[in-house]
Amino acid sequence: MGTNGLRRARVPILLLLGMGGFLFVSYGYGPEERALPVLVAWATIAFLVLEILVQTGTPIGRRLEMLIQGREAQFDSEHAPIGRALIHAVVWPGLLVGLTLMIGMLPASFLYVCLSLKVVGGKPWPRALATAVAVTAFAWLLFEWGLSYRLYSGVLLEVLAG
Amino acid sequence: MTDALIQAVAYLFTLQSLSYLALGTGIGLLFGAVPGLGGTTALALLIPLTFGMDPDAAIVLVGGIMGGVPFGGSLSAILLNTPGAAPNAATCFDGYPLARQGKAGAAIGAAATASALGGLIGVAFMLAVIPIAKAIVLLFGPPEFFMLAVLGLSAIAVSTGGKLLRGLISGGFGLMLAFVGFDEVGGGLRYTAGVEYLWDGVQLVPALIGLFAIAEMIQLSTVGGRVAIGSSTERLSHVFDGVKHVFGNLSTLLRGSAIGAFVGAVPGIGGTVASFLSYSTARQLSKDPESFGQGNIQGVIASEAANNAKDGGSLIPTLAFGIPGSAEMAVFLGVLVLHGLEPGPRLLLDHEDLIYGLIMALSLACVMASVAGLLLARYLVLITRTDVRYLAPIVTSVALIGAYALQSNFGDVIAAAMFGVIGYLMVRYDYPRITLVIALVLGSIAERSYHQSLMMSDGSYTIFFTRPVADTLLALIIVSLALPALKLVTRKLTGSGHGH
Repeated sequence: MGTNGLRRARVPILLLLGMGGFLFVSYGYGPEERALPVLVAWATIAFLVLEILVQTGTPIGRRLEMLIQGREAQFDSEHAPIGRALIHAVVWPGLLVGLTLMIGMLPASFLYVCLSLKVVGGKPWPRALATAVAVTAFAWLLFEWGLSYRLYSGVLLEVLAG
Repeated sequence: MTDALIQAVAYLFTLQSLSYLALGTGIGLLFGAVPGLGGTTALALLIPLTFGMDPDAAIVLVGGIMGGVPFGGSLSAILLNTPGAAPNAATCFDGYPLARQGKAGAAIGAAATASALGGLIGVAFMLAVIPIAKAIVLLFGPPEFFMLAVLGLSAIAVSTGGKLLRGLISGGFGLMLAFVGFDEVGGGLRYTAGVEYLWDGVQLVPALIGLFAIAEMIQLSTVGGRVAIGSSTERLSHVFDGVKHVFGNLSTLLRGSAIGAFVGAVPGIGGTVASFLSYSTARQLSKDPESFGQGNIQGVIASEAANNAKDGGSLIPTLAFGIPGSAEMAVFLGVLVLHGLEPGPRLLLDHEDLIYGLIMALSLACVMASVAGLLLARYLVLITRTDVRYLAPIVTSVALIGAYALQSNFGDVIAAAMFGVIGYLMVRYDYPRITLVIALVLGSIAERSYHQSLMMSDGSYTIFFTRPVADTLLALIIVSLALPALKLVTRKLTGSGHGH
């Protein structure tokens, strides 16, 4: 098993550690409460070990791949660096959740759509503003006016209201 | 029966009933298409509104909603990879790739036709099965439910296109998430890490919104462009090609409808299992299984036929025994009770006309929703031509509002966002999301049935192997897991045969 094999197997290795943690926590519960979780955890650990063997590309791994998946071993292609993708994956949804928590759903939607269109999409301000107004109006019409939901109003408003 | 049927038809084809039906279908389409709402929410919200109506009108309205929701959900599944409700998730797998290839019209056409025909087949199944319904429902005890849950997981892991191990791993993690929260057996809390939001467990709807809607928007944001990557010179709509595909794949349609109607009739299993099972069966029986997940229209037909047929099936235990087949049916029971109708065998005897009214309304609503979809498809596909830089923030913000609206709980917003990241990482590292979702759905059923079975047998595991239906299901589990290896052996034998 070379460095490439280990790199390919890093995701199942991380998952194995996670499942190990779950198993450790499970044994803190009573026999009935942990019965099925422990069974599932051990089975998943077995699958993860097999996946690690497959991804390392050793002869035994290749045979396993044939036997279990019914095909020749196919390794993951190298992924592009995750840095930029993580900005899209974590920063922007995180910003929306944070804004929502602070100023409430509708103002947060407005700001998020507007900023996202301007910063990520490179759209001109008037178009970004018009789209944000349209989305916010649709959300208000559908959820607050049409369905009489009371959307989250944010921590700031609660603080200001006293 | 004939008198009641004629009476129901006569009532349904009045202006008032047709108006209620159209209203219900429209509401169903809208609630189905907006992620996070769905049929349960629509029915729950409309319960108070039906209070002043007479029972016939209320049932027609409810039938319209139930008929419209599944197809509404398939529209957002195809166009945005965002299932309106959990059962539409299987439609994403091929519907969305078709949309990306510029064939959203064909996918919508196929979904509309399969929905309408599947719904009608489900209703026909219900009519045929009602007389023998009790015997069928009674065949399933806790061991059978447990086996059915395991079969659901294994069959779906096998259907993930040569990623059996990863499918099973995702399923394991899905079950792990399903175990979070209040434990029905021990009566305590598990795996909540002190977070109050997790006391009720990991909620399915925010998880679905995150895993599909938000993850997809993250994915699209990283690559840019449009949902449809096909050429812009292609015809906007191939709706009738989709209709023709359904008639060219009648076996897929019939098989999917049968699976949907049958699984729908088993209480507590629901449409998600039905559509996933139908999808995986279509894939396994296909001559070209590798094309599933890449835009094979049979995937859309199989999942939509099952998703619509399940309504007819799930009405059987709901009406005949007062056992709701799904959350939507549980709310529907509430509507019946509100109007003084006691679900159970007496309902079939005392209010036969109402039952047939509901059946006819459901059938007509399926057709109305599909016709509306076919007419609007040309315009709906424009969504796939929209710049994703517009689409991503719009869908993300509306999806998060939808996640919140369901229970007015901010924790759902955080959960949806977190599942968005998890879903994106699963796409990136090629771990199937289907099995995680199905495990989340089946986790509590599996655990409850497991413990009930062991209580029935005083702790002996033989109960899972000594009952005919459980044995049959076990055999199906083994066959489904061994299928890739069996296919390989068959291929090798056939290959060597050719060699000789």
